[in-house]
Amino acid sequence: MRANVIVFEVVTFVLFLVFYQGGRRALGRSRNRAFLGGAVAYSLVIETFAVAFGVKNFYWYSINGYYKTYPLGGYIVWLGVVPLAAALLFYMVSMTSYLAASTLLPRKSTWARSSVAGAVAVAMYALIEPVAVTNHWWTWNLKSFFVIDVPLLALIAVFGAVFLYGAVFDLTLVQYSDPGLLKKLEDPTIRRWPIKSKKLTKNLVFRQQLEVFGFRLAVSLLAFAVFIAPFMALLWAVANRGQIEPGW
Amino acid sequence: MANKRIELEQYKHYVDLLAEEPNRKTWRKGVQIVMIAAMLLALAMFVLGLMSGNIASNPRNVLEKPPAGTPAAPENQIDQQNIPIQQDIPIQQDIPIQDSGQQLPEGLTIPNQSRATDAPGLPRGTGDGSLLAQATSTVPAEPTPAPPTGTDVGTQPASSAPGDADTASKKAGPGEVTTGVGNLSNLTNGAGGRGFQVYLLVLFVGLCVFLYFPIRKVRLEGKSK
Repeated sequence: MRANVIVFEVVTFVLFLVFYQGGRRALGRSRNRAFLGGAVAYSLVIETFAVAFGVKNFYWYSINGYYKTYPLGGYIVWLGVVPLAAALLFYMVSMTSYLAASTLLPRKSTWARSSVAGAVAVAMYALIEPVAVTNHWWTWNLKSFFVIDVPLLALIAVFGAVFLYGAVFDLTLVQYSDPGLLKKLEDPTIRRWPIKSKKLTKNLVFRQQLEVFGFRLAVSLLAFAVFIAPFMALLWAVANRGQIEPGW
Repeated sequence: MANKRIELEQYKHYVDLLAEEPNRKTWRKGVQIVMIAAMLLALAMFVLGLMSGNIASNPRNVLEKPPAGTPAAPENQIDQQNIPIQQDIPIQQDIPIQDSGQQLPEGLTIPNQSRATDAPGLPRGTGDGSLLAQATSTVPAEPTPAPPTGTDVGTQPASSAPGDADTASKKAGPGEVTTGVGNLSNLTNGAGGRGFQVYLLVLFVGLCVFLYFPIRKVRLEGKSK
């Protein structure tokens, strides 16, 4: 038996059901749905950009003669160019990290908890990534500094993504807080339309809170791009592996 | 009137929270389920990693292509069309051919066997037809592939790592194969061939220990109430 992509996908789907049940109890039904939707959308945007810019791909099982055995490129369910399993993996890792940090550090600030969550996520991906690249669940194509065939940039990106996602979720749907900078950004934009209300987040109904959550996720994606860009440049400069030419 | 409205809105918010906020006992149960599921995820990755040890030991595995025309079927399912030698067997006897070099029955010879062995690096099943033509046209320009270290038929290299032909033009930058700390096979082949297993084990145990702390905390909280 080989740890091929179908094994990974089945394991992910089965464990996702357990995570969903746990998350529903820990966060509440609606907030867990929001966490799931946000995590899938968040990872989908990042991974789609990664695939579009040739940093990463999920197509190893769909090239050469492999399509005979893996007709859909290995993965069964795709969301555009990214398999659903990869997005669900991010949900599971970020849920674990967020709940672990919230449970262990309940009195600390959102930023401290998110930092711990990011570190836990890095540890989890440090376990997952070598197995993934060995079995070609995904392939890294970027020019960067690699450690055991995993680009250091990927682990830094995991930290940034989980940190920002956890912080946005905690600030918006758990603490219902309105940091000054975000308030300045939201008042002339999303608060004008579609929310049409300048109330504090805690005084909005849940649907409006979800809209604020979506807006803040979009802002955090920009913050993620700003965060990752210097690391990308730095690791490009000290790269120990070049980019694989496209078309293989 | 305004105060009444504020009061009603606050009440509405309270009702929302009441519907959405799980009670503490349910929350504790949820945290435990998620942490145990995370341990199971770590265990699954650990086991899948152990299963991948022989693949990881190949230094060029990460950049290898899948074998051309040879789907990664289980070892006992070999595509009959890709076994040209079967047509030349004088007696109509099925010969089970496996990748582990199984011996033929005594006295039975395969006339075109030498063709397959003459071309080093060719994948099994490319003795005749277009696959041979494709393969022989590329073999002289390419170095001999790395010796296979794994037993998995699906990872036998069909050709060398991508971009070998134009490596000369890329000597200025980093190559397409990692070396030293960057290469997984160095870790895998280190520590008496158990480096990758040790790495996975350390991370797995570390994660399980860390994930146990939230479980312990919510259990203690539950007991104290």
